[in-house]
Order: sequence, then structure tokens, then C-alpha cells
Amino acid sequence: MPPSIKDQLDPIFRPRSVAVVGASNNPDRWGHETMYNVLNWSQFRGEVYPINPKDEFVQGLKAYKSVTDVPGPIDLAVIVVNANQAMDVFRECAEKKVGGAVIITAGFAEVGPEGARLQEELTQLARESGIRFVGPNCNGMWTSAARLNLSFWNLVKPGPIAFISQSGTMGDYSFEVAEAKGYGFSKIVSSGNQASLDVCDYLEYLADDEDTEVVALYLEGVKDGRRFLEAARKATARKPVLVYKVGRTEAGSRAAATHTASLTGSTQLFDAACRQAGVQICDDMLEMFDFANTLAQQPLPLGKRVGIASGGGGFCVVTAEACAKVGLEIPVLDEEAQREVLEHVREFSPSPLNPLDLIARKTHVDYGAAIEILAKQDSIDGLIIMPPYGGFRRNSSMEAMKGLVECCVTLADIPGKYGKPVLAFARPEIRRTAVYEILSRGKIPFFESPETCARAMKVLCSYAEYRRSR
Amino acid sequence: MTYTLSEYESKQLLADAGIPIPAERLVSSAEEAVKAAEEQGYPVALKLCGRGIAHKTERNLVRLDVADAGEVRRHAEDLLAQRGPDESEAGVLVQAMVSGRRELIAGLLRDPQFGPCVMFGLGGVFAELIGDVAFAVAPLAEHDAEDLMRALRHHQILDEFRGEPEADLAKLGQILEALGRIGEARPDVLSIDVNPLILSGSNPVVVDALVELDSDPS
Repeated sequence: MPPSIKDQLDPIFRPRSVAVVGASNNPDRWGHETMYNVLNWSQFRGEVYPINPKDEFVQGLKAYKSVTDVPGPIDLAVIVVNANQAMDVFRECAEKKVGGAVIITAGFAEVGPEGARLQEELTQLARESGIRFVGPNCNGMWTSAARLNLSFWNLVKPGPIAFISQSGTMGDYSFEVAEAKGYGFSKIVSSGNQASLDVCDYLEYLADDEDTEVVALYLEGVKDGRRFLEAARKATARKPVLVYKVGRTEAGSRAAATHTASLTGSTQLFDAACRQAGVQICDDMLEMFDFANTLAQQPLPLGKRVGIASGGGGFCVVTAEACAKVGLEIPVLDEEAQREVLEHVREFSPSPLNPLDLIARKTHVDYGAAIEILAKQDSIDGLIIMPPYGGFRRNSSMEAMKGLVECCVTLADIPGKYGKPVLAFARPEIRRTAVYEILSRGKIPFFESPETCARAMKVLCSYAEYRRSR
Repeated sequence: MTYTLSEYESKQLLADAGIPIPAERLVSSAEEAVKAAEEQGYPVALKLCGRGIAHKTERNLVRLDVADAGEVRRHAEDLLAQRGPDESEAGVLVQAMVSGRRELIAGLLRDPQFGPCVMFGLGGVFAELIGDVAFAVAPLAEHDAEDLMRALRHHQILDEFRGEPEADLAKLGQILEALGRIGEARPDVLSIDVNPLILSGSNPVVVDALVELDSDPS
């Protein structure tokens, strides 16, 4: 029996020892950067072996001339040599019986027939020796399981999102944007030419990966559509999968063909396969991470009926409009619930039909209480709220300060208490406030615009509906 | 060399896969056409039917709402006279007229990446203009068929609409699932084009169908 995908990929994603083949002391070489990342932007606790035929030490560590000279076992070989040396190096890796490899080296199928031949040779040898590899022509990866970072110029925050990117720079850029928003990653893989491992293999592995709660994909093309459908179906039965796929336009398809030699294929059939597999298609590359984080942090709603609450009428209007645009429903509260809400607002307050305009709440505590009334309605499946705005000032009363904290705790408890997702919109500056800290207890995601909240809620609803129907 | 079955044979292939097809008779003379029409009841539709005959409407090989024996005779003789040099085997297909205001299309195609896929969409004269079609990768489970129908931008056409009853979604779904099964079971079937698939009241009826094979079946 062939080894399971877990056995094949664990040496790559959970290595205990890493050899950097082509590790360099020359800052102009890629092998310098990779080695630097492993030593400085990782918290890798295993053995690190620089492989360099000339230097005795690389960045302070004892170097070896070849992987075959390394005394201990090597789980993962990271290859950053030139393309013309790649074959020899890989042969030594096979001899050494390394567990897996990441081939960062470029100059293969993406540059023409000669490169394609070299790539085929490499892939053939990998197949014979049972070594799977990421790449070639990729930017490397991050894996939280080993706290190993081959690619990024920063420490990566471990978290629930696995991101597989057919583009290296797209991976880097997305990571930086997502990092700034505080999102954490279980894996980031720049999959490159996908000669040995392709998106279907990663999906299969990630379906059972305990560190991964949601999978985000950047795809240019899929080689085997039916296999993608099957792998995606298995993954979505366990956790949500999101995709940004190019090839929706002729210009995009042409660009993809020259980038990763991908045939983008029929968009309509790809969309059909995604619908059948419950894969959520994203129209905006960066918004995909907002959705991924939401899916990882919030419970799935039972339906698509949304309750909206804000400390101001304009946001109620915009949020309701944004929800309706994406097909979410905003049911009117029954009279009993409306009466309950009215106890928490002043007499001049607008009618609490849903959305709730709580500009005239009596106190902060009443703001939280009114929103909790919305949350407990059987007619409401999820909430989009504006968090209590403004916080307090240095001259606020102790009572007001305590009230704000109480309100935030009430809101933070809603997802856990009622099993309904809560999404919030606020300026990014809210991260510096106590409101943010307390709401984060409930893992409530923040977005700058109500529109993003509505689209994120829509994705939650779509995935939830898929899971219910299967 | 690909090969297009006649409308009659195409429908038989669909029927073998469990797709309900309307009663129709394939006859080879005007005399028999009249007899078939009498049995069927008026009005009837008459079509020239033979292997390789596509684009019937463009060639004026479809005569609708034919109301009595004299008209049947006249049209049948005319259709048989229209046969081309390679079409001497062609006969006349006598069908009951199917009335319905909602026209749909359905079909099967093969894609290099996704293999057999089922197509479903709006039919009728503006179909190309509106371009409302959706796809599903075969095989289709029941919920895939439901999702495929709902994937149309104008899926409300299947609802109760301007005095028309709601479409029989279960029956429509079974047709779509059956098309997918053909794609799986018959690798020789390159494509199927059911056009139109008319909603007669709530009932979907396969009014015309063409099956393309990868080679000559005979």
C-alpha cells in the first residue's frame, strides 16, 4: 500500500530537521535569505543543516558539502541552488532518503521546453524515490506545526488559516495584508509549478490537518478538474474552503498562461464544480482572508436572516442594503421583541423593527442588552453590529466605564451563548481600545465597512447551507 | 469522425436512460403519416428525421400545428421531397403538438478538465441573447440537480409564473441526473442537446434532442 498523504507530507510540514541546500553567506543570493528566515524569522526547534560546498560555516552554523555528509536524518530538504545543479542535488537527497523537499529554484517548465524536460526528470526521480516536493519555481512556505518560515520577512503568527498560492508574490503580499489585520496561519504554501504536489494533494492533506480550520486558495489553473472536485468535496465536509481563481477574463487567462503555464479552463465549469463541492468563490483576493478568518472564528448560522444593530441610522441603512444585495434577509422583529428593545432606549428612539438604530440607548449596558434581545430571537440567524462607539473619556463616570465593559462582555458572549455569528464594523483604530480586546474574547471579527460584513455573512451562510444540504 | 444520431434515435437513447419522451411515430410515407396522426390526435408536429439531420428549423424541416389529414399528407410529401442526396433513409416523425410557453434547454458536454458535464438553461428565441445557462459536473446527486436549476439567473421561470404552474422540479431534476448518468456510462456519447425542453404546464417534455457520438454506430 502506498504511504498516506499524511505520511508523505508530514516530513514537509512537521519536519524535525531541515537542510538548506544552497545556503549562502552572500546576501545577494536567495540561499542567504532562506537560511536567514529559517534562523531568524522562524521559531524552529529542530536541527538545521546548511549545505554549501565551499564555506565551512553559513550564517554561524557548521555547513556540509552535501546532504549525504550530514550525520543525522533529514526530514526536509529546502533546495535553493541554480536549476542546472538541481538534478544532482536532488539525486543526493534521494540517496540520503530525505523525507520531503521544497524546491525554490526557478528555471523549469515556466521558461520553456528545456526547463520542462528538466522538471520532468526531477519529478520522475522524485516519484521513483518516493519523495514529494513543493515547487519548483516557488517562494517557499510557512508551517505553524514546526514554526518554520522559509519565505517571509517577519515572524508569522500561527493561526487557523491554510493558504495555498499558485503565485509566490501573491502569497507574500496577501500574507502581509492578512498579518496587518492580525490573522494567523497554519500553513502558507507557494505551490509554484506544482510538479510533484498540486492543489489537490494539499487539499487532501489539509482536510485532516488539525492545525487548519479553513483553507484559502489562489488558483490560476486546475490540471485535473474532477480530482479537484473530489478533493475539495472531502475537504469541505470537514472545513470551509475558499478560492480566488483567475481566468474569468481573456486578459487574466493570457496572463496566467505566461505566469505559471496554467490553462485557466472554463470558468463556468469551474464555478459549477465549486458549487457542487461547497467551495466558496471570492471575487476579491484580499477579502478572501477576511472571509477565511470569519469562517474560522465564528459559528455557522442556521439560516440567512440577519439582525443589524448600530449606534446610528445611516449605518443601519447601509448594512441592510448591503445584506439585501447579497441575498441575505432582514426580518422585522415581532412586537414582543420590539417592546423588549424599547425598554432600553429613550422615548424619541426610532422603531426597533430591525435594523435596530440604538443611537438613543439609555446607557452602554442597554446597548448590549438590546443587541442580546436581537440575538436570542428565533427569527435571527446572525448579527452584524457596530460595537459601542467612542468608548469613554478621562472624565467619564466610573459607572459609564463599567457599563461599557459590561456591554462589551455581553456582546462577546453572544456567539458562544446563542451559537450565532456576530460580525462588527469599525475603524481599524479600534484595535487600540479596550472594546476590541473584550470583543476579541468572542473572536468577533472587525471589518472597516458594513459591506464586507455583509459579504462575510453571506459566505458563512453559503457554507452553512452547503453543510446542511449534504 | 463524429456522428449525429437522428432525432428519433437520440430520443430512444434518452428513453433508455430513463428520460420520459413524448409519444411519436417514425414513418416513411405520407400515407403512414396520416395514419399515425389519426391515432395521435390533432394537431400534430411533423419533422423530417434521419441521421445527420441537424438545423431542422433553418432548413424548414419542422411543421407545427398541423390540423387535419389533408394537411398532414401535404406536409409529409413535401418533407420527404426535401431529402438531400445522403438522406434517402430519412422518414417523417409524427408527434403530438406540445404546447407550453416556457422553453428550456438541457444537455451533456465533455470538458478536457472536468469530463462529462450537464448543462441547463433558458431556451426559446431570446436564449442566445439572454445567455442564461449553468453547468454541473456529472454525476449529479439529487441536490446537485436542485442547485443546478437554482443556479440560473432567471430560475424564477421555474416558479409559478403568469398563470403557469410551478415546474415539476422533481421530474426536471431526474432528467438532469439521467443526462449525467449517460455521460458516465456512455463514453461514446460526446454531447447531447435537448432543445427545446418545453414546460407543458408543469410537465417538462423533451420536444427535440440530438445526440452526437464519437463514431459511426453501425
